[in-house]
Amino acid sequence: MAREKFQTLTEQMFYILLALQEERCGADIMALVAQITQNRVTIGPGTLYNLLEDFLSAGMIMQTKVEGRRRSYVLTQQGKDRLLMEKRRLELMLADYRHMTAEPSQELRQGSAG
Amino acid sequence: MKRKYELNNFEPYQFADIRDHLEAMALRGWRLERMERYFLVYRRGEPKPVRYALVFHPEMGYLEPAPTPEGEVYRDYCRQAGWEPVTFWSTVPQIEVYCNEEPHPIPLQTDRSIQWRVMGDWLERRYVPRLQTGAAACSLMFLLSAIFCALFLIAPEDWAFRILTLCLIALLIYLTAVPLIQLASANRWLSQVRRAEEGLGEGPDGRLSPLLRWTRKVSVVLSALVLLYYVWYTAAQGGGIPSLVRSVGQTAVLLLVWWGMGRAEDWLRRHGRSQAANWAGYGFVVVLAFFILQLRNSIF
Repeated sequence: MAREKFQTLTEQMFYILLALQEERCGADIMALVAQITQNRVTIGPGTLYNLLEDFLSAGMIMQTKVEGRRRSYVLTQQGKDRLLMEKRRLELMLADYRHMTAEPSQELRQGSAG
Repeated sequence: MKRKYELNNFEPYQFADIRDHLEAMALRGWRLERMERYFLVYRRGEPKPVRYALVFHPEMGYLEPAPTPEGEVYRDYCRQAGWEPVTFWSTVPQIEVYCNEEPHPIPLQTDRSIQWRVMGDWLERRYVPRLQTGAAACSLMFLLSAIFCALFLIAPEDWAFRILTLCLIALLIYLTAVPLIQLASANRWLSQVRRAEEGLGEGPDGRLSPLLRWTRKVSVVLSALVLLYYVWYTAAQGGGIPSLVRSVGQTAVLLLVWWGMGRAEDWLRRHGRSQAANWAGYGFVVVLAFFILQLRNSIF
């Protein structure tokens, strides 16, 4: 079954939306993402172009300026909501991880004692 | 500047074969300059490792001026990552070749799902419809020609002429089958790409299969044999050397006209203002080609 687009965000999608909380030129996003992730996440130029087009079509970003070939974008309210939703999802996952690793379950404790 | 011309017998689905070949040529000091209808054209350069990649632009029309405004934006992003545009593929203008001289460049596509999606969009919107039209037209034309040639088999001619007719019929049937095989390959390719986009498969490997590679070599050998037989028949049976010269001349003019039409397409894409204007201009080229082909009959 086809996965709904943007149902969950990939790392690259997430960081592009994160970068566009402020108005930025598309060409600056690649460098910014590499900088804030310390090169852990790299976005290829083709991927950047296609994802910006996808976000535009989905109404998650809007084009604010066109100066020749340089195009600037910023998040729309829909994009901000989606980014916030993703942040909450990641926080829940992190909380579940901390819960499972910091506090072994009651059954495990009983099993090791018996 | 020194240039090298190499026969271009690649298919669009051979994106990995093409990439590897261009990188191997760059190591030998030959840098790709153009991908034409018949040839890959290289210019002499310093032998060094160069990475190549193929980009698909599904939004681009066949005679649309290249690069499009969106294509210019794409190029800017690529340049920032060290990728420089090299050329468009003349017969498949939605495919653009890029190169990068950095030792470990960021790939053009870092999201495989997007890579397959773009390729699938190009296949569905541009390549498969074109093959369908071509397959229908070629199949009809060649089958009719084969039937026409078959009529000669029952004519009271000599055996040499009958053998030649049989060879021509076989060649026409082969030329009828080729576009159908290409269409079947493209549909299989599209299916693999769509499955890979959904994470259900690895996607096409971008290489010519050993079976198709062997088939291609056999067809080249068979075509060469048919051509040699035709040359022998024309020279020995059909009217001697003058007749042979006439046939070779007519064939050469046909190939030159076909090559010239390809160059006209490239020129229109580089200098044209709009796709509609380019199609109008190409119409004039087609009319001119028709008259040249009519003229060759009176010359030869």
